[in-house]
Amino acid sequence: MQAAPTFKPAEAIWRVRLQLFWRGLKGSWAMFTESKIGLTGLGIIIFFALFGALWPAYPWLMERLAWTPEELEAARNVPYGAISSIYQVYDPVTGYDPLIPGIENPTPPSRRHPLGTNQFGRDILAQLMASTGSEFMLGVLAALITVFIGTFIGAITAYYGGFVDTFFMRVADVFILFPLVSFLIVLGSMIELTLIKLAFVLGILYGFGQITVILKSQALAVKVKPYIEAAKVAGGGHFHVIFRHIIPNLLPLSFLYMMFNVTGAIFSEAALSFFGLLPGIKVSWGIMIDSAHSGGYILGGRSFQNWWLWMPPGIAITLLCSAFYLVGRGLDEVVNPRLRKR
Amino acid sequence: MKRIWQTLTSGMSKFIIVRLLQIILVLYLYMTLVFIILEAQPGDITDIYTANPKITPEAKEAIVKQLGLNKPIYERYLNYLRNFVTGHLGCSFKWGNIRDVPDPVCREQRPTWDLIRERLPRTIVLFLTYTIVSFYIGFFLGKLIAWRRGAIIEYFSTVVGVVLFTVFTPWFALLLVWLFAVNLGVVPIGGFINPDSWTNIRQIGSVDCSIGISCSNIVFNHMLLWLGGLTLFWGIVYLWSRRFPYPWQRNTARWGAVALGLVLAGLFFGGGWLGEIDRVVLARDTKFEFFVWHFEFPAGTIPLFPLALDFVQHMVLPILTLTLISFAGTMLLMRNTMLETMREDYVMAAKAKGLPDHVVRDKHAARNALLPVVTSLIFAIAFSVDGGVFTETIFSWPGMGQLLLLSALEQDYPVAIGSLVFTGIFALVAHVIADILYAFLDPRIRYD
Amino acid sequence: MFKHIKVIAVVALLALFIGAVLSSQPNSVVQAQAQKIYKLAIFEDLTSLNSLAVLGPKSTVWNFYVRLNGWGPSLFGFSDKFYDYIPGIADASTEEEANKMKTIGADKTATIKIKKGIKWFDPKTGKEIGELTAEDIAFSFNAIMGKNVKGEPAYKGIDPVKLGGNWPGIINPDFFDRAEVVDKYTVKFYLKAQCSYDGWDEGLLFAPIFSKAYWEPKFEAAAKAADPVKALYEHKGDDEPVAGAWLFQKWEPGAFAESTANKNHYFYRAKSVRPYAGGYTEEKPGVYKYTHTTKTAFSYDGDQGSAILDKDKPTVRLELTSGPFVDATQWRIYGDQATAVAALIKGDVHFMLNPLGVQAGFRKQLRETKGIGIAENAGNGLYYMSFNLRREPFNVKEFRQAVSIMIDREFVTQQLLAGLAIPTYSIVPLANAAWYNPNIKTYGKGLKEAEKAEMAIKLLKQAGFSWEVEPKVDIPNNKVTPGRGLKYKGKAVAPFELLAPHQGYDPLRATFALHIEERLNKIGIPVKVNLTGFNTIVSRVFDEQKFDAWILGWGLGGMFPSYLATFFHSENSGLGGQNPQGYNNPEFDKLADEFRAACEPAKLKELAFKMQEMLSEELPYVPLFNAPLFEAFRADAFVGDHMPYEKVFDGIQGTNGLMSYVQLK
Repeated sequence: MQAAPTFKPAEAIWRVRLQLFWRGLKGSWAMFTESKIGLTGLGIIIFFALFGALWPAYPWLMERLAWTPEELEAARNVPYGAISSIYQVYDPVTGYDPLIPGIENPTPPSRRHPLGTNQFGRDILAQLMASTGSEFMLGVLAALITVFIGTFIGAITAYYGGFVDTFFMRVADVFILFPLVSFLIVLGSMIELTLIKLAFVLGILYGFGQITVILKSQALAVKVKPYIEAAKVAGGGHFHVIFRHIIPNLLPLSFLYMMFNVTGAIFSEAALSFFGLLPGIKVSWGIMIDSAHSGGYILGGRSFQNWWLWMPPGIAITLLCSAFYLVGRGLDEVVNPRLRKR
Repeated sequence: MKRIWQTLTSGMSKFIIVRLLQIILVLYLYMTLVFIILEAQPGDITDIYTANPKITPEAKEAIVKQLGLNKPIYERYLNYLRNFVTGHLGCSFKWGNIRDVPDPVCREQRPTWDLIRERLPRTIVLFLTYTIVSFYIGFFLGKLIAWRRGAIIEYFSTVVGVVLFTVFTPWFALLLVWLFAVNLGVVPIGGFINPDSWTNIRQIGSVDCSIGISCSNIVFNHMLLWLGGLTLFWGIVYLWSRRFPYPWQRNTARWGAVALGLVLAGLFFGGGWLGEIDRVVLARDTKFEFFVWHFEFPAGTIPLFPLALDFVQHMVLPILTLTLISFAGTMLLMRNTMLETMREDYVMAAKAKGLPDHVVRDKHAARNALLPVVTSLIFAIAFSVDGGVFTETIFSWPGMGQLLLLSALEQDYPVAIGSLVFTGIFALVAHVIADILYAFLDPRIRYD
Repeated sequence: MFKHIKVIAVVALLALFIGAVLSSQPNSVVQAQAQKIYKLAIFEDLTSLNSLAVLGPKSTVWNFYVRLNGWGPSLFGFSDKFYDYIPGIADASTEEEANKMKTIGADKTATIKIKKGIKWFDPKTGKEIGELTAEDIAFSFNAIMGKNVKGEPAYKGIDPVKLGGNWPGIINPDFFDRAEVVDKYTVKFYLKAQCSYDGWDEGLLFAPIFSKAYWEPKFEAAAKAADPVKALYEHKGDDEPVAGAWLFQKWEPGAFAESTANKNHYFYRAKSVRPYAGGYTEEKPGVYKYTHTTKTAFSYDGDQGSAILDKDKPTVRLELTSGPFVDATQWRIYGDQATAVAALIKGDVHFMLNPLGVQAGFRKQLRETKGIGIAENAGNGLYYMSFNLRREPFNVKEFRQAVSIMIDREFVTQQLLAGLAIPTYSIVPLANAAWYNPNIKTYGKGLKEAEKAEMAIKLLKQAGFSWEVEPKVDIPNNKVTPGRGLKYKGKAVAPFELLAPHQGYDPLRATFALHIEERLNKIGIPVKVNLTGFNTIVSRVFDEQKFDAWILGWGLGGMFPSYLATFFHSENSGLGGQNPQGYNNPEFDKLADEFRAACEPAKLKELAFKMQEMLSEELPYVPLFNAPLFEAFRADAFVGDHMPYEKVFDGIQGTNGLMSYVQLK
């Protein structure tokens, strides 16, 4: 009788994996930090994440900073004294300041409203902060759906080839050349797109398109690697090979494209809101710009008056979109070795 | 017969045929998808009429019947496909016939195709111009920043580029309108022509364009034809002149062609050459002036030139906006591909040979980095109609994008679907052409 | 040398651009000599030129502005600004004569005489092409609704209902029988009833007259076609003869349209005078003269003292001379309001034709601009909230009253909407002075929130409502502690949905909806607002009738409140009808039927008032607000620095911009 093999792993396999993962991450991070561009983007993203996360604290803070007890009392006694809670004032959709007569709106930035109010008396900063969360959610959700579809389809088309490949590549043809803006406009004018629905529509439209083709070519390169052959020889099933070997190798590239898709999704939402095609969404940066535009505060003015109505949301959209894009570029240099500095 | 078969199945031809078949399938999928998505919506045209309290249910019924909205869905689907195959993109609900001889199918309604034909040239000229301008600038800058890797210019132009690339388009366009048109007042606020210049124009050449036929489109088409014709002419002369051994011969031929083209165009638009088709007949006494010159023409006529100029005035701001927004995309792409080619052996070799920097950059690296950029150029042209929605809306430019947005908002189904289908087809066809051209141009690509 | 061609080309292109830019200042390159063109801004292109289609399915407001100017003038009409009932082409020189002429005899006929010498003109050349006679008038009605000797329709397959659009309102098929030519200037109408204010006084007598010579062959051909209505609408219609002041001569699709002045038309330089005391005189010396001395029954006198006073003629309230005084009128198409306002400020247009509201920012800008004149007028519209009265508890009158009480219209319009809207309690707009009943009920008007809540809670309790937690009212501190769990007769009231247009479509209605949601929930009425697309609301409410409550608005069109019957008569409560709320009150139906049949002004007014009183108590509609029309024009471009008149019900846009009266400097 033969003796049992004495080989015994010193550590559990999952710990090894975790360590390897951690080491890889650290290496990537080091590479990423070399790119100033990527870091700038990351900084902006963190800023907006904090900005959005702080939204619930805003009314609480303002109540303590700007709304003195005397002012609160005054608010209760104005002719239409209708507010029973201060939170009401900062409700981004229905809020108004009872101490400011309606005719005076929009008011410029003041102690009570750090970014002023719009023509309906709503606090701009409150609107800006309240929308941040949904912009993130939409962008990330749409990008996740895209990447999920793209990675999966990319992996199986590369692995199986043949009919599956042909079919999905033709589908990709349709979606690559899909006139997305026109389509979303027609769709938005007909059904009520909520944030979630929009995220799914965008995720699917992007997911079956370009990203499938890119990830497929990457997967083809992975497929011919010796360790795939080894896994097959070792008796790994199709599923095992796809999920344990091919997809993990696609993930860095998927992650990179996810960044670019976040940009696209946020931009689409803002654009549709701007044209008034997202009635299901009550407040967003795009709507803020639209209401400043259709309310007559952008065009026509001879000076920079009313800037607080349209500069903050416009800058916010641009900054957040470019932030994700910049992170994408930073990652590009990590994932794509040929772009690295000599 | 056998030979034909062989030709058809051999390499390139086979590739083209397979590609065309694929595209027909893709087209069919696309159209069906569009139909399904659009049919599953609440609300229809009759809703618009219910906003008037004087309309009785019977009258509404009559409208529904008149527009064929009461037919079952499969019948409408077949109708939709048939209309498309026969080259008909449907008939508008909203627009009535405005031609002397009504369209045989649409009769009292205006065919979508007629609307598209009216608006497409305006969109194409705007987007063709900006695409070429912005690609040239993007190519040039991208080349530069890749070559000067790590310099401050790289960081600076990347950040500016990314900001412009991701800027919220409508917002940025409004900002520019506010700055240049409203505050500085150097360009028109919107629209594509100034009615003051066109109010008295009744006839161009022999075409009566007083009512419903767009005088501006006639001038526009002349401009497009000349632009295309001259480009072709100059291109041919350029290629032909490469056979000349001496530089002075080449230069004479090339500059001669440029001068000849410009003189011919000047004669045509200035009105002194063809007489009939380049004169505008006026309803009332009119003069035109350019800078400080006043021009006198035979009573009741002016040349095309001032009208063409009117267009150019209105194109300045949209083109500036679009260029600013989109050159960055090309620049960033160019930078990337350039960085990749710069690592190729032949570039290293060229450098090692001691060739001047700009020669290596322009002749060796940039030329080979160009291919992906050209692909993206073709894509940009394919998507120009689609991307036009924002710009056209902000600048009140009555092109395809504005047509699509308005008909979608007003539930003019046939026009919305027609424009959407057309936009898709436009993109598909442009893509296939690009694909085939690419196969011819790049010998590295094999299609087996 | 050649290496630099790119640089040179770019420089040349830039030079061309800069040249183009520079030469655009300040005027266009092509200049017309000494033309006075009245320039109006519109927001959408024309969709049809065919006059029948424009009155039919292509009845957009933009088509009306441009095309509803003088094909054939109508037999009777309203005077400018005061809405006095006066003859148009009907030949009468006094009010008595006019009244006698339009009175329908016991034999259900009426004979109308028309003025002699009214001419048709070719719109393209402006040349005279014959006279407008009784033949044209009889044809205009018979072609669409008339019968031949055998009693069959004059033209097969054509009738007002099939023509659609406004046609059933212009020629009421239940009222008109046929018209007959008596002599060249006399036409006799055969009718089906002895009276119908809607069908006759403001119906047939207000209908436009078309040229027989032009349309007869087209009708004949159409009657033989497979689809006669289509065959009529397919004509381009730009060459149709006109008898009025404007010749439509230019349309550049997507850019602008233009009509040239016709200074040979019949009413050119006719002068009308409206003294302070009432009455009206219209005269073209040597041609015709018309006088009446009293106010007509429904004349509009709602804005005393607002007319522009003429120092030399202190007794005259309005004096107008019919033009045109300009060479042409031009309608410029702008993509949206922002561009149009910018153009107005820049001076590219003289007036903005705008049936939509003007937002606060534009108002501010326009007010601040030198040389811009502003006219604010009451609009003829109604914004309301309504319920599905087939369901509980919406069918309980007290419930609707409680809702109406809780809505603080004054607060919303002043605090939230900065005066962009006027609080409204009636179906007929307050400004429609002739028809508005000032004695209607206005529940809860002027009360504070707590007082409103107390009143509403009391009403609800009376009707059998109860709460799980009853809302508490603290009147001295004006505070309401919300209640919850509303029950009707012991059964819980399920949360219901209030459909309203979203912010982007109409901020006014969206704001009201959110206010209503907040206030109703305070007294425990479980409402949830769904801000959605206009089309979704219309299709759910009107086509499917699957809804609980909704907020929308009507443009009421015309002074006569026929809509009182239309919106609330139970016969219109079917799918697609105009009473989707399903209001069904036999008592009201009786009143409405009587109203439709009446024609005595006094009787009509009495019935309209009664209906309004009933509606203000029953509240099948809860009226919310009205949007006043805010209009801006380049005062500095007009002679005297003002429009011919600026105060008028439904605004200057309702007069198509006073094209025939304006005088440019």
